[in-house]
Amino acid sequence: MDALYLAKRKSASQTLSDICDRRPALASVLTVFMPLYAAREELRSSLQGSVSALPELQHPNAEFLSQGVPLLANASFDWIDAPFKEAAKAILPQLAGLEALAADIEAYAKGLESGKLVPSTLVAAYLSSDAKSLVKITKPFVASASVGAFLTQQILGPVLHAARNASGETDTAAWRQGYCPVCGSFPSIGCLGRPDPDQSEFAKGGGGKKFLHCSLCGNDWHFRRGACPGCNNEEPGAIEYLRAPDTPWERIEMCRKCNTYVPNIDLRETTENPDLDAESLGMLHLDLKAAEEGLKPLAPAFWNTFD
Amino acid sequence: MSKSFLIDTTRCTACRGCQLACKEWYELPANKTLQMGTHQNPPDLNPNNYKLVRFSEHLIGDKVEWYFFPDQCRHCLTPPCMGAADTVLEGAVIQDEKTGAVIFTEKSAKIAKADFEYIREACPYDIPRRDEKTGRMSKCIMCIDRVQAGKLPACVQACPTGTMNFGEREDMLALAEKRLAKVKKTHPNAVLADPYDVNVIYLLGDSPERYHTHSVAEAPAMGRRQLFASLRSGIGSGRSGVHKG
Repeated sequence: MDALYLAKRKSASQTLSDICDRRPALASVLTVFMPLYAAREELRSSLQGSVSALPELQHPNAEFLSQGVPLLANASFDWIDAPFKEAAKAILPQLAGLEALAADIEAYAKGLESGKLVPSTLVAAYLSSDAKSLVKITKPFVASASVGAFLTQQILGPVLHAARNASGETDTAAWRQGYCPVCGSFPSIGCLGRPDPDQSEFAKGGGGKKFLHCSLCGNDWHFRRGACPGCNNEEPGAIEYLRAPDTPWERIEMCRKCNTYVPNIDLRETTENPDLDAESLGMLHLDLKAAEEGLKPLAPAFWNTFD
Repeated sequence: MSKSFLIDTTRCTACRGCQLACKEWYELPANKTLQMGTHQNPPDLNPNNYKLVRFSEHLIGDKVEWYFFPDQCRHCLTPPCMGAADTVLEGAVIQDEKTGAVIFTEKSAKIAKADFEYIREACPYDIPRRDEKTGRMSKCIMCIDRVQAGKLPACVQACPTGTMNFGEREDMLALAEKRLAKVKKTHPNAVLADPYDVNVIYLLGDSPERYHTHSVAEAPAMGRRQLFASLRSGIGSGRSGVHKG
């Protein structure tokens, strides 16, 4: 990932607040999620003490990577109970603004507290995309499977992020898939990196290397610019763009073959260094445009799916 | 911390992409010019050109050397033009707190020609110009509209060689020092032009006077009015003492 960008990246709250200044029309939606994003960010560092390095990430399985199997596939999550519960205590109160989910959130929290909802089995089911098991595990606590998945994702994200940080840099150069090499989730956003100012004495060219940002664990991995992360379509012209004229660095990258899209920011075109999780939420106006075009987000969330 | 430019003249090929991008963005009209035996066109900054790539040629030994200097407002940390203008009409020249951009406002059209000359003389880089038809003062305004919207200034966006760089001041200062150390190996006379006084930092590959008379600040002889203006400008920005230039 672009080291210059990483060094200067703004906090999620600052990113959302800047977007509200730039696009006041989005403020009413973004302010609801500000406390949640701030809590998620805080958790990444506060969980460092209770999360230890994962051997799957410290010593990545080269065969897994070359065959497109995420590193945490079939991993054991016996360690996750305590940090998951700690994260739930911090995250669930921040979702109080979503009144329609109040009863579900309360029941989910009680389930965790009473021990009836077991984080290790919940996480294993969630990460293996085992929808049947996930429904079975969450049904006694939440009204719908999508709410159960949403709450689990919001809590699990910072825990996995902290575990990644504790495990150090993981070499995933052999990875060629459009889903995360660590946890297997689809990207919520992508970015094109800036050029290295020392790369050439004669021209500014370079940069533009594409990275996808995991919607769950926040991992960034390199991906081919001309390919669709959803269906691996690599035909010439496979990716089309949708953008607003006033912010040319923000765009929707869509594939007409599988009808999905991933938002993307071109860091070469802007002085901004946004937090990518927050930026994906701040591109709501383009999500709406994509929905009008009949496209589906590759990583659906409550804020980018419209009926 | 304000925003700054780093203009690395050692990378400039005088393509004038920056000059044209500036004209395009502000939709400035063309100037009627004559062939004067130089590639520098137009001959000087004017209300239709906030930016101008200056060409200088020098016979050094038995070789003609070309020096290119993309001239523009330096957006001084303590702008003497603002100090001078404030003694004439407050609000004609303002400084944006967040970016450090020095801006000539519409009010500047009310400033008389004689007072404009006084403001121009206060600038150690000879940047301010005046539209004789409207009376309005003109110069680079750091593409404040673009920068506030998160975009790069038009000249930086257009530059294909990496001469024009823009970002947070601390980042540009760090990049300037890094580039200077590298350039010094091949250009031992390389210097940074007034880096701690301005937000537009030039990296010059040779002695400043070879690029342009006003490539670095020189202190003009100060009359009483100018002394008062520079003191006022220093006090206004919370800095003590008389500003260089």
